[in-house]
Amino acid sequence: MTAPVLEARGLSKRFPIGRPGLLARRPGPLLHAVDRVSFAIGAGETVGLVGESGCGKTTLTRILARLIDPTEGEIRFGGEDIAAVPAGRFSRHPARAAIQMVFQDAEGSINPRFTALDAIAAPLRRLKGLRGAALEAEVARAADRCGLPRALLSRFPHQLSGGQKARVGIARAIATEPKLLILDEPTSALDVSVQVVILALLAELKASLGMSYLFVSHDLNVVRLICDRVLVMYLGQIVEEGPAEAVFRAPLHPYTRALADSIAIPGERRAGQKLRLSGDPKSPIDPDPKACRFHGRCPRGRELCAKAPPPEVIAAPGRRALCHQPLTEAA
Amino acid sequence: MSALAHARHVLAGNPVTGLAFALFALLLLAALAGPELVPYDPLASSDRALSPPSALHWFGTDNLGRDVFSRVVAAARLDLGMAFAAVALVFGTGTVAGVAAGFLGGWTDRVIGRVTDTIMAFPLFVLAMGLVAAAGNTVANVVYATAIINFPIYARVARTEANIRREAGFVEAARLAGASTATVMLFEILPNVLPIMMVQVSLTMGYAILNTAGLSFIGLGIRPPTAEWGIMVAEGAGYIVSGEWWIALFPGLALMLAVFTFNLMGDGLRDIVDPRRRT
Amino acid sequence: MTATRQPPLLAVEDLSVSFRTRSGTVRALEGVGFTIARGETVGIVGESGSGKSVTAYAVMRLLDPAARVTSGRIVFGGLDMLAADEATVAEIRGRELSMIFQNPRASLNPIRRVGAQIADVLVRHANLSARAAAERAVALLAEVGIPDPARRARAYPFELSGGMCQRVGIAIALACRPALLIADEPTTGLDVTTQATIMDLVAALGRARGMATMLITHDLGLATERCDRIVVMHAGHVVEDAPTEALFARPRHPYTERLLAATPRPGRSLADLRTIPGGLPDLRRDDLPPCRFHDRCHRRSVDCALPPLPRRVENGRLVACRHPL
Repeated sequence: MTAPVLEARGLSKRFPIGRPGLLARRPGPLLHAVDRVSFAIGAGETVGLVGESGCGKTTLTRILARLIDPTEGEIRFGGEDIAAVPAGRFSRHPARAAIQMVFQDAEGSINPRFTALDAIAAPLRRLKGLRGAALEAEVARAADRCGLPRALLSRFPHQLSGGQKARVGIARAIATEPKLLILDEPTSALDVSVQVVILALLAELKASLGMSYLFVSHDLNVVRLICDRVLVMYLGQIVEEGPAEAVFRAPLHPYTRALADSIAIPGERRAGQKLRLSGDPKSPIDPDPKACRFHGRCPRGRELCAKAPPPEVIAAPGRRALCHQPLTEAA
Repeated sequence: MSALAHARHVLAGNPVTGLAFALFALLLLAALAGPELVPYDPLASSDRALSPPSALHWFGTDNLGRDVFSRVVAAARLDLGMAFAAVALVFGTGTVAGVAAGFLGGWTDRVIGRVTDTIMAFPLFVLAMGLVAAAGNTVANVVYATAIINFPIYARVARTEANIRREAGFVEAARLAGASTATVMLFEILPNVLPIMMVQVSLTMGYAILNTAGLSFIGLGIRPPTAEWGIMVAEGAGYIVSGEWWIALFPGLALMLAVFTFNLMGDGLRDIVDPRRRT
Repeated sequence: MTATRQPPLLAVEDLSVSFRTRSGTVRALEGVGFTIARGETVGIVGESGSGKSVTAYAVMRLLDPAARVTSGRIVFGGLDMLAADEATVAEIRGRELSMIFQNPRASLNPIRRVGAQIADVLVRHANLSARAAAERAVALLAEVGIPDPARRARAYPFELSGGMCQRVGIAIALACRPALLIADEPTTGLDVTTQATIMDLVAALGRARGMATMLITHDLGLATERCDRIVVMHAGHVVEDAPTEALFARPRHPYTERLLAATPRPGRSLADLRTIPGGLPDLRRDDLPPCRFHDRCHRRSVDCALPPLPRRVENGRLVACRHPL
């Protein structure tokens, strides 16, 4: 087993809400966005990250990309703990070029006053110190790799189609040949026919540049398609982890089961019992440390679930769930 | 589409903007070359006092026999020059302060916010009067006072624009590309804020001209015999009742024209500068 | 298209809509036709630019002022929607015919309480007094599954989650028990788990009231689960119209087949997925071929470029193709 490209250990992020009064003795309420998250991404792996809005996956990706600082925890990357470097100073750290990101809203992620060329050139200019002809050559190379016609480099984002904007975003992200690429819903704004092409491009780039991917998506069909392993997040915690196919075919955690049951398969009407969740998730503000956070919405809740936090159950190597009574095949 | 072609496209599609730019060109010409081109010396009095507009004196003469037309045209340099200086000053300081406040938040925002609140607590013209009266009756002080009273609007508009873009995807992308906070503010946020500020610049030019003229009208700022629209309106006001309407009317019209032109130019400028309007 | 003899609730016939823009006239819809029977759920499926939203807005007579209906009829419950005057249509909108939108938060007024927004519809169309409307609004919130409805009726949209806002949108749309609900991408802004519960709700309420639904979506999975029939649109044309199972079991139009082949599903690998070459034709062109899929189609022949666009109706299915699969 080779060393993982990135390892997160006990990452947490808590945001203070409101302002405690001047004379307050206790700290004010805290929003637990990410709670003791630990996982690893191996070389050449695509790890999927799924969960509903508010589960903390956006915050987690921003922490891993070092755009914000965690409240506690380590991120081991390239032999050091990059979480110890403050986000403000990370832009000058050598590892900056090795972790990059592709955004969901490609148009919003490109400065409207920049051309595609300016956008792709920016990381090369600042992180690799390229100028002039060398810079243009690298930009052209990145564009070629991403199937972006060079003629489009002089266009502004609003002059590009959805697929073209996606390619610009990807070209910019791979320009510095990063080791880890975090993809935040990269295809959810694209038509399905364009999505195929972009997914194929991402697969090809991963192989040719030797990258690892963290792929965040709400489209579980896509996650199942391209991810090797999946992390399921709920209210800041990882509630299940395992190989993608296994997690969706035979989920251990009831939340994962509800997710799997809500997937609609084009062309096939699925019969059988479907697990549906009622209501909304509990508040992430000052959650009860002595209860399972899914309790109340979980159709399998028991007394124990309200009285003790769920343990991490290791069902098999690389297969775990945070639950008092994980689902088995028979359930 | 190149920048020039885009500019032509905007002007072609919007004749009102074209008109505004044409008028602006006229005003600019008056300001730059006016004093050299006018038929009479703006300061030279003659014995043909209070004569109505005629072929000899297009706008008539004032109480000292000075040619009103020459004075109106010559005054453009002073009025426009002072307004331009004030606007340049407030544009630079207000935009940067606003962007810093909107992007950085925290104490920067609070301090700049209190400064703008303090300025806005006063009726702005009265504040300008007070500043000029206190600091001394000079052209420079009129310029500074005009800049100060317009600071809040620039700072606020820039602050809002920076604030809404603070969390934008392209800001995160810039950080991923190694940009420091200062770099993000200057090279990512500021270029997006500028188009909106251009509209503001144009409107403020109008205010600044009115401000300068207004202060001179009440005796602060420029003093006679200098040719300046505000003074001329003040001097001519006393003669309206007795029938010599041309002394106040023409400088008044010039003021109106100038303000009108700058207001119209605002939208046109933004259309030209904002790349999103390019097709 | 329908098995019953009753006249359809909604009949769109040969509808063509163009938009005047600075860069030319966009022929957004051409010859669009389909029917919806009472109680039926019909999916309008297509990618961006297919014209599905324009169709919905045309039915509601809420098109942009730059739009021109150049041909066709829309008959709803016997009324010619395009010929009727605005007052008549305004009566129908909200009462017999209503809509829920893609972004639930954006379709609610942010500065008014949600209960008041529901009550608006009741006062306007059901002739209830303000107080009766307010009470009924609370009852409707309960019907759409919002817990503690009396308290939530006084909430503002920003206090509610996306799923709850969509429920409020559904409450507003269903307040006067319309005969037809148009749902324009109702699940796009929602989480997967919320999507399922919202669509269950719409289906249940629909069944209980015999309400028909026009579901506009690009999500083929959603269409499979919820629709009785599916109308596939491409570049402003209807290319196929068939019962759901039949459509997916045996797609007849090359575009439908390619669309399915591009959609990820379990059991398929990335290599199995196929893309559709080319892109949408520029709808501003004067020389558009009669079949707008022509330039991207792998089955085209020489006579496909000749007008008219063929429409074949067999076994309750429509296919607009000279060489259907």
